[in-house]
Amino acid sequence: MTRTQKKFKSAKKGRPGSRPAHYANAREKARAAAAINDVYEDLPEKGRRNTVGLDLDKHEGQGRRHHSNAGLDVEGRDAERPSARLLGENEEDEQLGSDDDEEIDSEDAFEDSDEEGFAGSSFRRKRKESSSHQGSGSEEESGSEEEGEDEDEDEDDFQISASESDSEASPEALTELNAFLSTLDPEDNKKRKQDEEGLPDSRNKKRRILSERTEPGEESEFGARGSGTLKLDDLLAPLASTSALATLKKSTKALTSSSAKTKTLPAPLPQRAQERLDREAAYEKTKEEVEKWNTTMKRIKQAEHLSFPLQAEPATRVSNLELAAKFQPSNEFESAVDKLLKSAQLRDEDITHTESLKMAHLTVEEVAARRAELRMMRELAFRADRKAKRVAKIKSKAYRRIRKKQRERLDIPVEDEDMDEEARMKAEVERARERATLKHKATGKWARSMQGREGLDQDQRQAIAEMLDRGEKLRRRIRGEDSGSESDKGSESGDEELDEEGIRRKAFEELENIRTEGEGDTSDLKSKSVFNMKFMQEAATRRAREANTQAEELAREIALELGDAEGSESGDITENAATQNTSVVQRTGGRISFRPGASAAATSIAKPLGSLASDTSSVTLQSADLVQDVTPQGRHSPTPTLTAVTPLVAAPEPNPWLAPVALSSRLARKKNEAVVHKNAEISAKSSNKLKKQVAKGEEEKERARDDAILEVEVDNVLTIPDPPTTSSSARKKGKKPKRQNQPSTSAELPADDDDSDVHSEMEEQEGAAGQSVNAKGVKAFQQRELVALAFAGDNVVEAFEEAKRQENESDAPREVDTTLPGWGSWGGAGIKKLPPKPHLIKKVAGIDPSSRADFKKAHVIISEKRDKKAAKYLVRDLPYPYTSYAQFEKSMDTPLGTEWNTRVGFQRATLPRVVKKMGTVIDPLEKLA
Amino acid sequence: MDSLISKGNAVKPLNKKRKRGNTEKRPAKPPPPSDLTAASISRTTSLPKSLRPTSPPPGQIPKHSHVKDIKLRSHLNRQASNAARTKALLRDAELLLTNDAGTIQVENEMERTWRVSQKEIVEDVGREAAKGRQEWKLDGGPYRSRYTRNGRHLAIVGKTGHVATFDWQTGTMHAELQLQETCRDITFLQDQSFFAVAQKKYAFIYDRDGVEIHRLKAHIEPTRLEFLPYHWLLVSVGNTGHLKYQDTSTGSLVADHRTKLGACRTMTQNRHNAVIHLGHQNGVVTLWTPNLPHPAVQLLAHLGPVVGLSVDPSTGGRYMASSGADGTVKVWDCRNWKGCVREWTTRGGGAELEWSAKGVLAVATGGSVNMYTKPSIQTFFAPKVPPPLYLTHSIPHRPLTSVRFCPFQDILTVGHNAGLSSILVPGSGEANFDSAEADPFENKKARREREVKGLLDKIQPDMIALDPDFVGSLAPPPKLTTAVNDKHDIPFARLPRLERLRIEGKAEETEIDADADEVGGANEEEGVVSTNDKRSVGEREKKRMRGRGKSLKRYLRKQRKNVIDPTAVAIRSKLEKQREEKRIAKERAKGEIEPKKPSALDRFRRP
Repeated sequence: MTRTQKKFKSAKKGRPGSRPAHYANAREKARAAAAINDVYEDLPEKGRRNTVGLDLDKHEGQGRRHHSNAGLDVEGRDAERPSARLLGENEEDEQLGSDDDEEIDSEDAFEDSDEEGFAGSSFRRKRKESSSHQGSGSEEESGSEEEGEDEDEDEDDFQISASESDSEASPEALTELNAFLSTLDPEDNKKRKQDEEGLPDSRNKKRRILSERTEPGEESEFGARGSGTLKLDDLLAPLASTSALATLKKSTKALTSSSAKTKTLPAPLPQRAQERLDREAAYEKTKEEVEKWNTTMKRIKQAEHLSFPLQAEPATRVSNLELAAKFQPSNEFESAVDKLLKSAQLRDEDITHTESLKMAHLTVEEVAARRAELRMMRELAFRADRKAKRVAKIKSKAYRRIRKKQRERLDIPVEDEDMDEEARMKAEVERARERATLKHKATGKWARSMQGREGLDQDQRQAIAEMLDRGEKLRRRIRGEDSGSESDKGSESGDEELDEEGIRRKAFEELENIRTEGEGDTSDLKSKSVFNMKFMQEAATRRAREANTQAEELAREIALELGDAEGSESGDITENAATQNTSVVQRTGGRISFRPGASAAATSIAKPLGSLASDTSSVTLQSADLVQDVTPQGRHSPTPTLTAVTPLVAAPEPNPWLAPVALSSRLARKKNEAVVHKNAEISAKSSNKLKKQVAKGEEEKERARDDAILEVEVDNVLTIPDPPTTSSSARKKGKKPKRQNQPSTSAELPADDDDSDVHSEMEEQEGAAGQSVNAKGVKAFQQRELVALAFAGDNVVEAFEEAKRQENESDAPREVDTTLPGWGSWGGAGIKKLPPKPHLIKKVAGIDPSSRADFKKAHVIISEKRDKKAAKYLVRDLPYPYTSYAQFEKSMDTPLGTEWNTRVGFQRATLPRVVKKMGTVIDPLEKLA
Repeated sequence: MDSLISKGNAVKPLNKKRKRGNTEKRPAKPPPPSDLTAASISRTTSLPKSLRPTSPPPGQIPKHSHVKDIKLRSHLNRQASNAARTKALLRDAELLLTNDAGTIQVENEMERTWRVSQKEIVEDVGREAAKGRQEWKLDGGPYRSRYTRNGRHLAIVGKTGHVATFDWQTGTMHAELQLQETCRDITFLQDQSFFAVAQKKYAFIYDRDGVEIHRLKAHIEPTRLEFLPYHWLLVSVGNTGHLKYQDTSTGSLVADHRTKLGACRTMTQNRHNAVIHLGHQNGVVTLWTPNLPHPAVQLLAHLGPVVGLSVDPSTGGRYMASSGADGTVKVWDCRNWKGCVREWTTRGGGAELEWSAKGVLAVATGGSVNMYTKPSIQTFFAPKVPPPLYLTHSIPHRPLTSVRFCPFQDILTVGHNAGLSSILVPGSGEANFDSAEADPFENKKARREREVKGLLDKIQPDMIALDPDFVGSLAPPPKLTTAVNDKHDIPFARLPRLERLRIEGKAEETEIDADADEVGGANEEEGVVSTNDKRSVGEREKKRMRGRGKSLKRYLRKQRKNVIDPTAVAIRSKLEKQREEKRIAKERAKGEIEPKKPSALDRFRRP
């Protein structure tokens, strides 16, 4: 602290202002300096400073100046020096403006001082050259002033120049200026007068200080000044006695030479300025560096989709060939294998080499032929392969069976395809014999060729031995299990021979067997015990009959398949059936029940539902309608034995106990018809059909009656003891005609109300089509009005209006008076009732009736109440990036789910912005030059 | 260099920035033409090859040039182009010529489609299609039926308790029961493996084999059952007038609404939004959701009891048909309920109604079933005449108790007193099925898969609302006309974001729905109309001439000066008061008079 104080003091005392013009210029700088002074100095000093500054004589000032500089140097070193120097420069202004206390920003002050620093230094340098001759004495003095403080030569030099410039201001001019200033400022004047009393003390004091100093060289009245310019040699002279002189001289040689040219280094910039320049340079560099990334970063920022790592190498697929080409055996095993291959000359290059060697001996034609052969082989192999694959894929069992047979046939040497049965048999027998005797062992082509040879090599001999061995084995087997193998063979051959005709024949034979068996059974059973009993016998007969019918059916089917021409072997019954069938086929246009597929239809009818008439034909419908009123029991029973409807030929008189089950009442009519036809001859059938056709053409009523008659007839024929049907037959007769008409929509009889309904609808349509309104329509309209009235509820409309009014009221905004009676008002007799105070009226928010969705719609109430439970699914506020409802709505109106998008659209919409591969290291981006 | 950078903090000096402006350097340094680094990341920063667009987006893409924020603008642009592409892809994938395929067409003017009888149809269609014409003769009383969603299985129930479920195409029976008590309705649950029956006292759930699984004791005397497939809700309404929602996946009773309108015998669901429609004895049709304890909509449809209800699935639940006991049939527009679109009277009393997937309306009254096709029944027509008939079929077994169209088939199954009869209605069924949704040919594995998926995709019951698209949309601004005591003193931070943007001047107030005209569809149309209305109202408000109490002044002018009329006096005083207030306000704004400080005595002052 003492140091700095001293410094500032000296600065004030220092050089008195040289140029008046300078004052005006540096006023502001002075202010800054003053501010600094204010900061650092005490008040008493301030007072003293004023006097001292004014009363200094020239050389005192000079001395002071130097002193201050020395102090500065010690303290601040090179960096701080300029600013210190600045302060020194400002001193004269300080003297002037020290009294006006102006607040100046410290920062401003510094800035200004910086500027000044530059200007001052440069100016000084220029000047120094011109007036270097003046300052010799002062130089010496300054040199002497720096007592024991270690200093470089460089600094010294600088000092010298600075002092030179300072010394330039003449003391006369200074005093003049002071006088002038004092006249200018009355206050200052006053002060000065006051100060003059204390002046001698201060002067004495200063002198004392000066006398205390010890400086080398002569002292003149202007300070310490030597005879000439101070040389380095002079400085070194005292050291002549010491041994170190030579080395010292040597080291200073460079200095002396440089100083001879008087080339001085420029003053370094102030620290702040220097730092700023550094920063700027650094910023430029950094920017340059960063700008290299601009395009990349822009791309990343704007990218719709990023997949990390960003600089990943595109995955390339390595082909097998590439791998093989680049293969190097790495471990022991591989190298061992490689060595083996090498030794066997099986590596790729070896193979090609040998191939080329072989080729070298061949002529061009040979090579071509060989190639062609190879190609042919390859082609054939390929085709075979393809075919085998295709064949292997076939799943059809039938095909497999056929294939198997073919294969078996191929195994057998086929002599002649159309060889007849006996010849084949003969051949078989022959072959078997041959096999048994092993005659064939030397008869083969191969064996014969073997026999002819003289010199047999190892392989051939072995093959022959094997053949003999096999023959021996076969012989042994024949001895061991002769019968079994033969029987197998026989059965096999039998199976093979059985073609379709054979199968049929067999089937007929079996049927015949069954029949005969049944008869045989009955004859046998006469003697035995339990089977003699009546019910057993009956059961047996029943079973026999069923079997018979089954057999007949089968026979008929087969016969049907065979066609008309065949069937010579089949018996009379089958023939009969066949003929009947043909007749049915001829009548295909007629009734469904007579088609060969009737049984199938019947089974389909007999669905477990109990829905019996699933037939699509209207005939079925009619028949169903006919028996609609029949008891429910009959209807309930689904008819599993409906199959019995068609093939009743064999049973001329059906079992009455079986019949009711078979002939369910619902299908009565259909069955009746069937019965009629079964019993009648062909001519009768045709006549019946003719009658039907005639009936169709006739009036509806007549047809109905005809049907009814038919129904009655059926009852008579069947003689089914079915009480409901018989008892209600009379009633049915009455009902029948009506029912009959129902299914046909185009029926002309408007007998029933049902019909009338249908009819009226139609009529209406017709009327609409024809654009005609008849009198009946008007009447109908009136009736409808009546009906509407009759069905109308009581005051429905009023009730609804009331409900709507209530709803509106409950939702509407309203005001509630929250006044507490007796509070905030006077009570007692004669007090007028006052209106409620406005701040006690609570306004309850609501929905204005005019803004309701059902406003002006009398017939509808649409609830405006908030759906609180659904509120959680609503977005309460506008989400971030969007700035309007419309933007958000638009973002929401394209659905994302797979159900509403195509696959590509869905993938595109749900593509994440950042994709990273699991387990990969994401390196920072690398700058590629 | 590095030391330099580290020494200076690489922070740009302030004055540098100031000096620079925007004059220099910008054009001087163009980006290097081939930046290797940028090139190296080009593959990983662009879209995958398969998703990269190959052509410019179709149509006009809005540029959003009014949006100042570049990031938002590019986001919106991207969104718009993606939406356009997605729509184009969908358009490509659309099935062609799906409208009114398969209906009977007349060749000349004299022909009428309704003259074609079932017999003729059966003869003319293919064998496989003709199988649909069936008659099931049953004596369990009047029958009701229900198909599964894939149209493969049929459940029937007779009034006297005969219940059966079966695959009607193959004829395999799943279950047949004689329940020995009154059964009123039947419905399949998620598929053919479960069905619910509304019996005399409770509703019961049976499995495919007819084994009783649950007795739903909460559903008392149910009359009608519905199953909401996406929500897995079994809905019942009964003689008690309670509407109950039972979750069949969790077993919990989701909602129990008291209708307060007595016994209810008519119920249907809107398949578009899962809203339940009930028809009541007083002629009111009510719409219900599980959320609301009161009906969302009440409609006075008929003057007598409502007998039949059906919602058109082909138009996204836009039209509803109702029939009253007096024989009237009405078609309503469910979007605005502006009165019935079409109304006519049928013979034979209350009609059972059913709308097919392709929009054929079957009306079963008296002894016949009449079918009407779409454009005529859904366009407004004031006279109360029946629309042109498409087909008709008479069934002699009264009453006709149910009509059901078979999904994905041209078959209508009519339940009546003597069983059921299926008739062919060409063009009534949807020809193209979505196998992910309902597959008529699904096997056991697919059925299981679909059941699990259905459970995973189950929608919560509280998502049912009149507008099914409400989920995820913005909450509508409250319709409340007056805030409490007319004050909105909410601090800025607690305001909703749009309000904040408005205050900051960042909200896009003039956003025009550019592709609003492009998008069709029922719901959007309505929305657009409403917004347009609002805008026009705003404009009107803006352009309205604003005089200073013009009407009052005119009134005063027209009064005779010498007559002292109490109203005129009142108006004069009012005007005077207004003027005074305005003056005071102006002065206060200028700062000439101090606003009066509130005093403690103010509370006793009378306005």
